[in-house]
Amino acid sequence: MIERKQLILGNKTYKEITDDICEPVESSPGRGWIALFFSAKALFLFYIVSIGIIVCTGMGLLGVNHPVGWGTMIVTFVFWIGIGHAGTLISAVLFLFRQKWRTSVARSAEAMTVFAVMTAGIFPLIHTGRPWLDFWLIPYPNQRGPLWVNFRSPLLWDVFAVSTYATVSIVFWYVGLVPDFATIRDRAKTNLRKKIYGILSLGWRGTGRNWSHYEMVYMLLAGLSTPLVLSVHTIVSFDFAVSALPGWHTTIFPPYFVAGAIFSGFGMVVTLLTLVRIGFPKFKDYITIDHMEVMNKIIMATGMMVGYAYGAEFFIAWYSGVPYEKYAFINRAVGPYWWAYWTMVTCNVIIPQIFWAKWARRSIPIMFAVSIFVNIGMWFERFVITVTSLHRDYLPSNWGMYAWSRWDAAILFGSFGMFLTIFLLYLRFFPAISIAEVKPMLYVGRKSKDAKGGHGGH
Amino acid sequence: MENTPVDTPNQYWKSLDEKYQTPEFLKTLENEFASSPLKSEDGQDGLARRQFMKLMGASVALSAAACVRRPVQKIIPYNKRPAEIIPDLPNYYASSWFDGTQGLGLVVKTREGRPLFVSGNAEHPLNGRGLSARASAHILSLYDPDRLKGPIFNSVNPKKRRNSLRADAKWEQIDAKVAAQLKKGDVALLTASYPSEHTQSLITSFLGKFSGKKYVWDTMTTESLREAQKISYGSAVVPSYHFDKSLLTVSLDADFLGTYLSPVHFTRNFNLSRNPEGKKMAKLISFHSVPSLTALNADDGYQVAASQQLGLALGLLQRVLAGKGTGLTAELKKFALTDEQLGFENGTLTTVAKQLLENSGESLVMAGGIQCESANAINLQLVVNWLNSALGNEGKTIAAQGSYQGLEGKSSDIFELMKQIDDGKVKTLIIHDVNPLYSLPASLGLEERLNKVEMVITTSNWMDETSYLANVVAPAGHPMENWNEFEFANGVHTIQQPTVRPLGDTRSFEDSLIMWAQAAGSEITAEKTFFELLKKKVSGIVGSEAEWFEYLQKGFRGEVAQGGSARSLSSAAASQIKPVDSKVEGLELVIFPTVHMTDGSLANVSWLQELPDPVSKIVWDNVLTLSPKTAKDMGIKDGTVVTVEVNGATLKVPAYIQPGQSNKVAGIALGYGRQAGMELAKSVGVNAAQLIQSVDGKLQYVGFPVKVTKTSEKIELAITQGHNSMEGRQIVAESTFKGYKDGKTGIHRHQIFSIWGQHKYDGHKWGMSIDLNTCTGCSACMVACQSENNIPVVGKKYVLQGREMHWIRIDRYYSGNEASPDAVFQPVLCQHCENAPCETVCPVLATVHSDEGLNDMVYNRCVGTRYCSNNCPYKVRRFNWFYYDGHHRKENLHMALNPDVTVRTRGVMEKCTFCVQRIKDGKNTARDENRPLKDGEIKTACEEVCPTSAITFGDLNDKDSKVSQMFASQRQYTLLEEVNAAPRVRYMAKIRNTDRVMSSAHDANEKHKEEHT
Amino acid sequence: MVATKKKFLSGVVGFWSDDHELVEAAIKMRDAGYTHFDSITPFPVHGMEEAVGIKRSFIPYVTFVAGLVGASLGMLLQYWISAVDWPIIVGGKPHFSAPAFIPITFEITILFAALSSVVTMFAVNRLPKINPPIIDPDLTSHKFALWIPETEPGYSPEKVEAFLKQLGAEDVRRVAEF
Repeated sequence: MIERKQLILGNKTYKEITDDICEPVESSPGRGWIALFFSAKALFLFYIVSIGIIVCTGMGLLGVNHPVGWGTMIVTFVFWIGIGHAGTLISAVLFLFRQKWRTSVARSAEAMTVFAVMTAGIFPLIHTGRPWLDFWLIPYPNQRGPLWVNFRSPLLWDVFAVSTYATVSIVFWYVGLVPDFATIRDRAKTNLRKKIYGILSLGWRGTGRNWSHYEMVYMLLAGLSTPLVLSVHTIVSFDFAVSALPGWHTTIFPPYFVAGAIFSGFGMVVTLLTLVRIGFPKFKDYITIDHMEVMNKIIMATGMMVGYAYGAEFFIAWYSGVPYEKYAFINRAVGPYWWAYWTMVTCNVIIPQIFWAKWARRSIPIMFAVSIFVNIGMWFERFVITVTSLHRDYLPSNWGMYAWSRWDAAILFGSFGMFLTIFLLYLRFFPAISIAEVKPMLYVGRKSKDAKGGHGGH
Repeated sequence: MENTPVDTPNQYWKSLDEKYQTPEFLKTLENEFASSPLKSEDGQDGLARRQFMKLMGASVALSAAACVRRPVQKIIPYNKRPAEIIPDLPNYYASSWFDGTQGLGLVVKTREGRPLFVSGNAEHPLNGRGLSARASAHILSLYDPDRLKGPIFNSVNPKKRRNSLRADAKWEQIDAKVAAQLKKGDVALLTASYPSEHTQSLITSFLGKFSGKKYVWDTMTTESLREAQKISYGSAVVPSYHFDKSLLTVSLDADFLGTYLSPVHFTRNFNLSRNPEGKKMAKLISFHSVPSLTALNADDGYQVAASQQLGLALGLLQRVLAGKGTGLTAELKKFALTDEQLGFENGTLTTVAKQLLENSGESLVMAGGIQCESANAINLQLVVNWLNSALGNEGKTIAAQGSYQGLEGKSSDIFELMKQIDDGKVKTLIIHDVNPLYSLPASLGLEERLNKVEMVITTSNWMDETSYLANVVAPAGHPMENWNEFEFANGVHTIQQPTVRPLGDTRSFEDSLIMWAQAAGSEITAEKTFFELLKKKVSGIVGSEAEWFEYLQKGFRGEVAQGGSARSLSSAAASQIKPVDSKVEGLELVIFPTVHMTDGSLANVSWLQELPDPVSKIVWDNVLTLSPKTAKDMGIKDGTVVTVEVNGATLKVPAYIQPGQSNKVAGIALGYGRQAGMELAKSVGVNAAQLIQSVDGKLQYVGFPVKVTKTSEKIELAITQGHNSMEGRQIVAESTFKGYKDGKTGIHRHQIFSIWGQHKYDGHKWGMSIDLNTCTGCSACMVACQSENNIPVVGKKYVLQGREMHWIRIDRYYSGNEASPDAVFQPVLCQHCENAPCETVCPVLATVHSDEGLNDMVYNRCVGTRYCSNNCPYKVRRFNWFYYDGHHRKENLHMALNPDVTVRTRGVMEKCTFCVQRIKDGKNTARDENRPLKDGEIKTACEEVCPTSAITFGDLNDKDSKVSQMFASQRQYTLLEEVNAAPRVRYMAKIRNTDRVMSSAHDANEKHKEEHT
Repeated sequence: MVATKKKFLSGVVGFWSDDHELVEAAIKMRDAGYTHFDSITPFPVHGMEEAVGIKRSFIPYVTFVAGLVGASLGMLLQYWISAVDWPIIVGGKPHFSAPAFIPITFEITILFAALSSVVTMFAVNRLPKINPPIIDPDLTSHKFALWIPETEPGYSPEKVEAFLKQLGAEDVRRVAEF
C-alpha cells in the first residue's frame, strides 16, 4: 500500500480552513482582480453589441454561407458545451469513485461548468436566422393548432439535453454550496452579508439528520449527473452523427465527443486553477501541485483517446469503401483546411505528450501553456468537424469555402468576455473551495496527530 | 431638373455620369446606402464604410425596437375594374421579341395589367415553347429603374459650347425642335437590323421626305455570311439551317446553340435528330478557338486558332473533294492546313472528311458569328458554302427557303456614315436601336464625328454612352410597350403586342417618325399612329376584324417557306476565294459573345448579370480566357489581372483559365463594361468592343495579335461552380451511342434497403425527369425560375461568399484532359426526396412532405437553423442571409414580382417548390371545369421555357403520363442513389455519339466498374 | 425525523472541538437511552448516523418513482404529438419513430428524478427556513455539538447538562429555542 499524499498542506486546523477559504469573499478585491474584471467586462459588452448587430442585420454578417451552413457559432457552442463537462465529471463521477482529491477542485470545476453551459447556451439561440422566434422550438400548446415540433430533429434533442444539463448542474452545484453559505452567514460581520448569505443558505443548520438526507441526495445527484453528462455531449454529437453528411455521419462521434469534452474541460480547469492559485496564494495549500498533476494525467489520457478517435475515423473512412467518406477525410488532412486539421492534431495529441515527464506534470508554467494549447486545439477540432465536412460534400459543383468575417472573430472572443466576467464574480462572492467537503480531508495523509485521520471523510 | 456639368480640366471621374453630374448620378449618391448590406443594383460594392456605420446605428436602434420582422406591405385595390381583368387571374397575350439576330414568338403572362412571365408560343414554328435566357429576362428590363421616364433635351457634351444643359422635355417641344432641324434635310439614320417590313417601309418613306440615308449595323453581324451567299449563290440571304435533317454537323466556331443567329430555334431542331433510342443519332463535331455552348455540347471537339479557321476549312474541303475525285487549285492548296499544322493527331481531318462524305446530303458544315469575323471571314464562308454544295447539303440541311429576314447590318455602313459626316453631308443623325459609342471602338473616332453633326437624336431608353452625345433623346420604350409585326423567317409573320401601357412618357420609334414628319409638314402616312398603320396593313392581309383578333390570339401567321430546289454553286465562287495570309505569331485575340450578355443591350438586367455564364460559370464580371497551358506558361492564375493590348487599345481585365481553349488564343467576351445610364451594369467588367479592329473598311473581331501582360493585381472571380470534376462519382451518368446500343447506359445501380416502409401517396404523386442528353445548358430555365418565383439577386460580393439564390442551377462538369475536355451539363433543383434528409432535421417542422409527395418549405414557420441545408446531399436550399426582397421595392422593380409566390423575408430557408403555385392553379382549373387533370397541363417554369423539353414534370401515379414513361426508361437513374433519399427527380443518362473510348466519369473503384450495366 | 408541534424547541447543547470525540460522546449518549438528541456539525462527520441512530434516508425511492414518471411522460408526450395529434410525413419516417424519441425521453427522466429528490430533501430538512435561531456561529466552522431538545422523554435541563459535562463537553449551554 503506497502511502497517501497529503491532500491539504500546512497542518491546518478546521478554523484555519474556514478562514482561508472565506477570505476572498470577506476581503475587498485586489488590483489584479479589478483589472482582470474590467477588461473581461469590456469584452463582454462588446460581445453583446456584436450580437445585437448580427441579430438585427442578418446572419450574412458571419462567414456562414452555402454550402457551409454552420460556422463559428455552432463551433463555439460545441466548444463551450465541451468545457462544461469537466465540472460535473469531477464532482459526480469522481465522487462516485470516492476520489478524495476531487474535493478541493470540485467547486470551481462545477462553477466553470455552469458558466460554460451558460455561455454555450447563447449560441444555438442567436445562430438562427430569426432568433426572436426561437421559442418555436419548445413544444407548447397553441391555437395555430395543431402545430408542434419535430422530435426527430437532433436540434430538438439539444434543446432538452442542454436545458436539462444546465438545470441539473446548477442544482447540484447549489446543493453543494448551501452548507458553505451557512458558514459565511455565521461569520458575517455586516448585516447585509448576513441577510444575503442567510437567504442563500436557506437557513441551513447542519444537524445530523440534515446531513444524512443531504449526503444521500448529493450521491443521488452524482449518480444521475453521470449518465446525464455523458448523454449531453452524446446528443450534441448527434447533431452531426445523425445527419447524412460525409464526415458527420459517424458512429464513433458520441464517445469521441465525450472524451474530447472531458479533455477540453480539464484543460480549462487547469487554466483557471493555475490562475486562481496565483490570485489567491492561500489556496495553494488546498489546490496542491498533486491535484494539478492528477488532472494533467487525465488530460494526457483523454488527449490520447481523442487521438485514437482521429485515427479510427480515418481507418473507417478507408474501410467503409464509401468514396464520399474517403474523400471527406483525405480533404481534412490535405484539403484547403489542412492547417486547421494539423493545428488540431498538434494541440490535442502531440503537445499533451509532454506530460509523460513528471517534472512537466508538476510545473505550473508548462501545464498552463499546455492547457491553453488544449483549448485552442479543441476549438479547432470542432471547426474541422463542422466546416471542413460541409465545405466539400457530395456534389463537387457546390463545393465552397467558409467566408470567415470579422464578426466571427467578435463572436468567438466576445464569448470569453462573458465567461470570464461571470467566473471572476464567482471567485469574489462564492467560496471557491467547498469548505464542508475539504474539512473531512484534513487528516488525509497527515503524519502528525493520530491515525484516525486515515479514514476521515465520508 | 437642370444641372450644369462640373467639368474642371483636372478632375478625375469614374464615369460619364459622374463627370456630368447627371440626375441619375446624383440620385445614386442619395440612395447609395441601401437598406441592407446587399446592394442589388451594384455588382462589386461591399459594405462601404459609411454604409457600415449606418448599419451599426440602424441595427442598434433596431435591437432596441426588438427586431422588425416583416416589412409593411402597401396594397392598391382597383376602384374601377377593367372589363378584361379578373383580379387574381392571369391574362395571356401572344407577342414576340427580336433579339439582335434571333426572333422569338412569346406568350406573355400578365396579372392585373403587369407582364410577369414570358414563355414561348407553343405553336410558333421557330422557337415553339422554348426561350433563351435573355428572352425570359428581358421582362425585367421593362421595369428597369434606370430607364428614361420621358424625352430629354440633352447637350451635356462639353465640346459643344451652346446650351450645355440637359432638361426633361415635352414631346411637343421635342417634335418642334426636331421638325425644324429635319427641314434642313441631310438626314442620316443609323439603326440595327430590324425584320419588320412595316417599320422599314416607314423608314424608307421618312428618309425619302428628308433626302436621308439609312445606315445599318449590328454587333452580332451576319455580314460575311450574306456576302458569301451572294457570291456563291447569287443572293445575299441568311439561309435556313435544318439540323433535324443533319446526321453530322461540323461547326467551325459557329455557336449556333448559344449565340449565333437563332439559337433557340436551332437548339430545338438540333435535338430532334439526337434521340439515342432511334436507329441513328446525329453527331456534332466542333472546331473552336474559345469554347462556346456549342463546343461544350459537341460529341468531338477540337481546338483551332481563329486565324486557322480558313486553313482548316480548306483542309476539310481538300479532303472532301479528293473523296469526290476532284481537287483544289494549287493557289488554295497553299492555304489548306494539315493535321500537324493544326496540332491535331494524324488523320483527324481525313476522318472528319470521311464522315462528312458518308453523310452526304445529311450533314451540315457551319461557320459564323463574330468568332469567325477574321480577315478571312468571307473566304471562310465561301469555303463552307463550297463544302455544303460539294456534300450535297445545299437544299437539304441548308436552304434559301425560310431564310432569316431583315438581317442587313454592314460594317461598311459605319465607315460610309463617318465619311458622310466628315464631308458635312449629315445635318441630322437619328440613332435607333444601336449604341455605337458603346459597341464600337473609340479608335474609330465616332465621338468627334457625332459632335460635328448639328443634331444627334437617339431613341435609346437609357442615358447611355450614345445618348450623352445626342442633343435629343427620344426614348422609344420597351418592346413590351409597343406594337409591331416581324417576319423573322421567310414566310412567318409574328405580331408584337404591347402587354402594358408605357410605364414612362415614352413613344415608339415608328410613332416618332410619323410625328416628326407631320411636324415637319410632310405626311408619311395617313394614319395617326403606327398601330393604326400596322392594323390597316395587316388586316388587309388577314381580312376581317374577327380574323385580325384571331391573328392576335394565335400570335403568328404563315409557315416557314419550304421546298424549292437546291441552289447551284456559282462557278465563279471558287475564284472569289482570295485568302489573306493572317498567320499570327504568339497569342491572338478572340472577341466572342456570351449566351447571357451578347451585345450588352440587357446589361442592366440583374437576372442576366447574376446568371452564371453557361461555359465559365462566372457571374458579374468579364474575363480574359486563356488555355490552361498558356496560363501556366505565363504564370497566370484565375483572377490574375492582365493588361490586354491591341494596337494601342489596352484593357485591364482578370484572367480566367478555360479548359478546352486553343493554346494560341486569348478570348474576351462582349457586352460588359457599360459606362453610362445603367447603374447596375456600370463598371461590371470591361468593354471588349474597344479591341475591335478596323482593317480597310471592315471590322475584325478575331484573329489578330494581342499582347497580354501579367500584373501583380488580383481580382476574385465570382464562379458559382465550386469544382469542375466529378471526382469519379456517379453524378452525370454517361455512355457512348455505340455502348448504349450494346445496352451500356453507364449507370451503376445500388442495392438499397430501408428499415422503414415507404409512405403511400394516392391521389397525385408529382415527379420530374431531366434528360441530360438533350440539356444543352442554355440556362433559360434558371432565369425563368427566377422570374416565376421572385428569386432575389445578391450581387458579386455575396456570390463570392457563396450566397447566390438560384433554385435551379446548372452544374457543368469537365472530364478527360483539360486541353480538350468533354463537358456535361446537369440542372439540379430540389429533388423532393421521399426520405428527405432536410425534413428529419428541422426542429420546427418548417419543411415537411405534402400528401402529394412535395417537399414543402413553410417560410413563415422557418426559424433558420440551416440544418436542412447542411443535411441536403444536393445542396439545393438557399438561405435569406439578409433582407433580400428589399431591392424589389426599388421603383418599378416590385412590379415584376409574381403575386402568386411569397416574397421571403430575412432569415428563412427557401428552395424549389416544383412551382407549387402552378400545380394548385392547374388543379383548380381542372376542378372548375370538373374534369381530371390532363398530363402535361401543369408545367413548371423551368420545364415551360426549355427549348429541348429536357425537363418533364407530371404525375407518377398516372401510368401513361410522359414522366412515368421516362421513369421507366433504362437511361433513367437517381442522383446519389446510395444515400437513399429516394428523390422524385430522376435523370436520364447522357449519350455521347463518339468513337473515342470514353473514360467513364464514375470510376470510383474496381467493384463499381464491374457493376456497370 | 423530529416531529414537533412548536416551530422551535428549547434544549441543551454540549460543545466539542473534535469530531471524533463527538462521535464517541454520541454513542455513549445513545447507550444512556437518549433518543431524541441530534448532532450539529460544520461538515458531515463519518459514523454520525449510527452514533445518533438515524435511519437510512428514504429519498432514493422518491427518485426512482419520479424517474419512472418522467420516462413515461416523455415518451407519451412525443407519441401523442407526432402520431396522434399531428401525424405528418417527415423524412419518410413513420409517425411514431420510436428510436428518435429515446434521447428526449432519457433527458426528461433525469430531470424529473434529480429535481424531485432535491425538492424532497429540502422538504424533509424543513428548508428553506427564514433566519432560524443560531446556537453558535462556530458550529458551521470548527465546533461540534450535541443537542438535546425538550422533547426528549424525561427531559430535565440539569440532568442533561450534568451528563454532557460527564461526557467531556468542553462547554454546555441552555438554549431558549433552536
